[in-house]
Amino acid sequence: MRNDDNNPILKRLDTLNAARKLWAESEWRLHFLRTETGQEYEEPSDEELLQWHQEQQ
Amino acid sequence: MASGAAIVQDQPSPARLQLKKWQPHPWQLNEFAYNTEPQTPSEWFSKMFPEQAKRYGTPFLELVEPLGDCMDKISPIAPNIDFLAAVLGGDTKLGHKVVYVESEMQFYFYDCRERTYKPVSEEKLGNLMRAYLIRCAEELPNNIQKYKLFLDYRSDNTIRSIVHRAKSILATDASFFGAESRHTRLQGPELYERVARAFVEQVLERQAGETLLLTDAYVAFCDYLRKKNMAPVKRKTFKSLVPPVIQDEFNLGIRNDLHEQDGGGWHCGWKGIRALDLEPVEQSQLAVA
Repeated sequence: MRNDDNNPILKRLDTLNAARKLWAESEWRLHFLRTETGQEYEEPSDEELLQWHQEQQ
Repeated sequence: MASGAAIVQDQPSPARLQLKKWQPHPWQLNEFAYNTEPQTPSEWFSKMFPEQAKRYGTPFLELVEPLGDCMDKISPIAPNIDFLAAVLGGDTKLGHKVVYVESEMQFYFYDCRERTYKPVSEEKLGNLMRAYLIRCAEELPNNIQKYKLFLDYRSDNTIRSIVHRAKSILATDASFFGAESRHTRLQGPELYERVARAFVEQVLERQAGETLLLTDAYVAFCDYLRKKNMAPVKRKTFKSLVPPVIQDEFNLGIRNDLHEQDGGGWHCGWKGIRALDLEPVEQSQLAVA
């Protein structure tokens, strides 16, 4: 337990790090199933990552 | 001799078989208990895919051979094909899902990035399973016999068995991507069926005394598709898509005894409905018919 558990900025950072880790795992797995299309892939923004992470909870 | 034989019988067998799934560490609490590293192939897979292990059982039958000094040599000797096939179904924690549509003999996977299902070949599913197996071999300690994980279980024969078993374990019927299903897929044949339903709901309305000619409805439908950046369909396709939805929605069948207001011959269409914002007929749009 950290003393700064209630700090919203640190809490958001923690959630974002967890979301990034899950997203990386998800992308690693989906990489094997996708077919290359030639389209450029844009990394999701922080907000998109947080929303995706929340949907998986 | 007899006493010697008795001693041998009292000794525990030097090697044993085990079916052992990963479990949280019993003496740790909260997330620490769940951070316990897996020590065997079965533990590695069942920690990663607990739902599948719960339903289909332990991932591998393992042979445990004591090496002394509290060390064991552990060798996976047979895979649980059902479990590995279920693993291909995806991890709900990541929002992943793979299904097999039996009527089309086709696997689809859900792409989180594009929020839609896409077709995937059996070879690609096999590649994913090979990747799991090699990752498992790499992440486990050196007292694990990795030969089978690396070679035997990644062979074409075993992978084919796993993907083949996945066809029954991950089977869905055609309604999974049906027009009324919440699941969408890339360029599925039901896409136009969905659009036809939306067209009837949004563009057509019941109006006593009105007449809607089939030609006018077709042009309106092509226009509706154009607004959705979709290619127009042939008139024959339109006739198979829209009239059944009109029948459902308004309980009106198509009839062949309609007159245009300015005279002319007999036409096909419906009585009692009209199209909102119907644009004039353009010959160029009819050319695709």
